[in-house]
Amino acid sequence: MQDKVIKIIAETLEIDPAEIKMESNLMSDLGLESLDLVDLVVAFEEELGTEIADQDIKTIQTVGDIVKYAETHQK
Amino acid sequence: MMKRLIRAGDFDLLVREGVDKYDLLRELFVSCGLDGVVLSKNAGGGLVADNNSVYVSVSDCGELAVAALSLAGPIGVDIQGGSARPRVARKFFSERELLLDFNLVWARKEAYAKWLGTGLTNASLAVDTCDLNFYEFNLADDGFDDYYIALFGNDTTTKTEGARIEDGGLPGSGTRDRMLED
Repeated sequence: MQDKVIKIIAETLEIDPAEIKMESNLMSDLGLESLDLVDLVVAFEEELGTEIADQDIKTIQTVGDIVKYAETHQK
Repeated sequence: MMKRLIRAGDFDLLVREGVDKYDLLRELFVSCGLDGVVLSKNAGGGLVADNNSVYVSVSDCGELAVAALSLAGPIGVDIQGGSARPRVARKFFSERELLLDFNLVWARKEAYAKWLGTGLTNASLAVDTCDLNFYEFNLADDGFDDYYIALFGNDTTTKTEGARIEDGGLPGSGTRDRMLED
């Protein structure tokens, strides 16, 4: 799951996967803007079958948070 | 470095290259004689004045920042440029929105969500912005071809018509009712 999440993030943000660590903060380390975040959420839905509810998005801060969320919510 | 002041309806909007959006907001406040207002963030992340005496919204994208204020009611502003996101458009854009520039529609959706005060949610993104009235501006004349600004407020009963755009410096304080020359 970790590799899949990193691959999706790298493709969406067009950055080197090696720059993406589990502890990377989406906003401060990876520089996500709101559109990037929405794009990522849709990508996770399409590619992992994981829907992230509105109220859960605010709790996701790091790449590791996404991996955990995907592992527990994957359909 | 690009810098423009836009006045339309009941709002003032300042867009500028190479500055922080909050610094830009302070600059806009000073230009309007409102530099004593204290701001805080609400639960949705929006900026709120201490006594609702002024309504503000800020946004940035790349090297451009925008700040807007109104004395009449809540506003939401957004600036967007860069590559289109087909996945996002497929999921959230209506058939009419799909016919428009991606960055324009996205700027509208963010501006609307800021006006609502909820931040981006599935519900706010599902709203067809073609059913709403926005002030909207393209920055092609300033060399930012694919950048759009959208502003939504209580009085956006017309679209771009009526906006006055001033090059360069700020107007004198206390002159926010003055109509600028074309």
